[in-house]
Amino acid sequence: MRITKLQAKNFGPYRGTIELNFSGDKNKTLWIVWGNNGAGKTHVYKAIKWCLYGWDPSPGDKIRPATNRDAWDLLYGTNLDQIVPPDPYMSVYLWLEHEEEGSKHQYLITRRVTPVVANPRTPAQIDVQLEVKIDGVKKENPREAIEAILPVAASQFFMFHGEEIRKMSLRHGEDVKDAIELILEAQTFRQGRDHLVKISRQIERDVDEERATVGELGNYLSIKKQINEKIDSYKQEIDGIQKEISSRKERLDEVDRRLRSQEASQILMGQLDEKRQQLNQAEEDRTSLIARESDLVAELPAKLILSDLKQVLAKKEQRHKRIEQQLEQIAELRGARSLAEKIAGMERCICGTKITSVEKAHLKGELGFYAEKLKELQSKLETEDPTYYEVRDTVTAISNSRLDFEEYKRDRDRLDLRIDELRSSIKGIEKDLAESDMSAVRDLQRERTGLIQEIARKEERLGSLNDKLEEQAVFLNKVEKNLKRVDIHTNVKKSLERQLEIASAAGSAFEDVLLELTEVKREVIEREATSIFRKLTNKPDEYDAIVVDENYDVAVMNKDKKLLEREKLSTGEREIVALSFILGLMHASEKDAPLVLDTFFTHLDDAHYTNIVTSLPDFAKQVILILTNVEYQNLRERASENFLQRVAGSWHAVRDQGRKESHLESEGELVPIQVAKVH
Amino acid sequence: MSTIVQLLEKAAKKHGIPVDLLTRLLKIERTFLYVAEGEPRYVIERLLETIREAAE
Repeated sequence: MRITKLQAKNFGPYRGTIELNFSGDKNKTLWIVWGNNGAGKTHVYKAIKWCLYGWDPSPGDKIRPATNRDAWDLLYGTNLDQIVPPDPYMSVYLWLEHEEEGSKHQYLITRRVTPVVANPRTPAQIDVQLEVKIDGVKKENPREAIEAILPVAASQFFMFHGEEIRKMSLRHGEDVKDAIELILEAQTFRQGRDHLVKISRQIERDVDEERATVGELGNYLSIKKQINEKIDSYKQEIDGIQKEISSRKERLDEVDRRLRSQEASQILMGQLDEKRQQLNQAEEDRTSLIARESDLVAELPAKLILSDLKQVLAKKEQRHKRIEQQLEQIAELRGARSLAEKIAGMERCICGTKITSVEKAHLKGELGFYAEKLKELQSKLETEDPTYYEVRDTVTAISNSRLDFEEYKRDRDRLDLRIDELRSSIKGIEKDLAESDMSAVRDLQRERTGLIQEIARKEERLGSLNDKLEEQAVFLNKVEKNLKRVDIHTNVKKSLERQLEIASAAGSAFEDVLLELTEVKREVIEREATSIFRKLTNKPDEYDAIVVDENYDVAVMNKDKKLLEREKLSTGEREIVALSFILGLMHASEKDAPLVLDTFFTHLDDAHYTNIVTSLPDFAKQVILILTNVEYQNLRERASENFLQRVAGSWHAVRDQGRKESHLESEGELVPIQVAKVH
Repeated sequence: MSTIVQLLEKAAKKHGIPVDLLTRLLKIERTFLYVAEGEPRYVIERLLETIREAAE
């Protein structure tokens, strides 16, 4: 992958648009951006990383999504004294050329900031958008498109500051080790293996569940067999019963036909039955009538003395009436006396008229009359006959008796006559029947009744069997559904077993790749780093090789095959070792990307500097150097002819202190310092 | 040919599965690792989907 053009607007300290064109002769691999401290040269490097990733990860940084805060900090650039960003509209356009499987593709990556409000004061008040076009086609997932060519993890080893290389020159922490494994893809395989193991377990559980379901197949088949046997048995019985019913109905038809031919006899039979019933009833009535005879006999004496008793009662009635009349007279006198006594005690009568003494004397006389009269009546009052009520009740009881000998006799004679008539009539019908084939009719009738009862019983059984048949059909339907379900599960089980095979095989394959990959990559790093180190070191006669251990920690082996830990080397030497390691790592990663180095020459002595300058053009297909003005001067002093020929272009970052903004001046080719002195 | 491709081919041959399938699974893992928003559930679903397709 090569950067062909970079265009940035209002980025960091730059106001307006800056443009860096990286196209040109492919043999010229070197590009330089230089300037004083704070002039904005590093912001060229930052623009590349921000455009690609939205932030600037260093080796060992945990990979995270870009945030608005990352963009917000860049809006200020070096103008840290300002409260609000000088201009909230910021954008970076990056043109790339990427070769994949023999064909070249043009990428245009755009990342821009637009304010959400007029004067944004917080990161939340800006909006950051990313867009990726490949060969003019906009990609739906721009981040994935960028990661596919240069993952953010890999970028940490392709584009870095001098500070970062100094960090890499020390013993690697876990963070750096993780980053190395990320770029070498060991992390990818490790993670993939773990995921595939997890998936295998998940599928295995599903397979077990399906196996359990499929295990039900035997049960369902056995149940189906039993149901089918029952259905067959019911159907067989139904057939038999239907045949029997049919046969009985045929016989019934025959009996009916024969009975119809015996219709006359049947009528006689009907009459005979009717007469017999009537005779039975008459005989029952006669029996109950005879039962009443004893009651009549028992009551006969009372009936005989009834007339004498009535005469005695008549006499007793006369006396009783007299006594009642006497009692009535006494009651009237008592009433009159009581009234006279009340009036005699009153001053005025009810109408208000005063009662005179004459009237009172008259009343007194009346009261005396009433007393005498009462005394007389009471003395004459007869006593009631004690047997009067007893005789009256006996006469009433005997008179009310419904038993009547005459009536009884009449009823009995009537019944006897009726019975005689019925018997005579029955004899006549029996005589007529005797002349017809009555026994055959009786037999047919009996058979008919038997047939009807038998058909009813069989039809009832038939109904019950049909219900059972229907019930079994429902069961069978359910079992069939379950069998279909089990069939589906059988297919699912097969599919899952295949999935399990694939997942397990893929997991094992990832494990195999992981085991070999780490070792192979470590060997590549060692080989490549050694090759570069031998070109860069200022002690080629002492140092023999770079050794990388399983934790990717680096040591130098001297010619005596003795390992020298990095901590024992000088700062400059450590940086050379770290650079060699990083370049080895880049090679091992098999990623094709530009190398962007930002101010990393600080601690190098002349020999190291010269060696690096000599080898630098071959470190990558595209190398972008960010240099301080001092580094730039040193480079111009030490640059070889070969180096100068490989420089494609340079830009000078210039800071305008008065306007507090920077701009880039394109310088084209690098001019050696000696030539500059002549001019 | 890259080291990873060589190793994948070797492993695919050893375990009797197509190298193309391993490559697809690897691409899913790469996406997950490189794109920070990737969630394990998301990547597992995608891996499983690929395995299901391969099983059919």
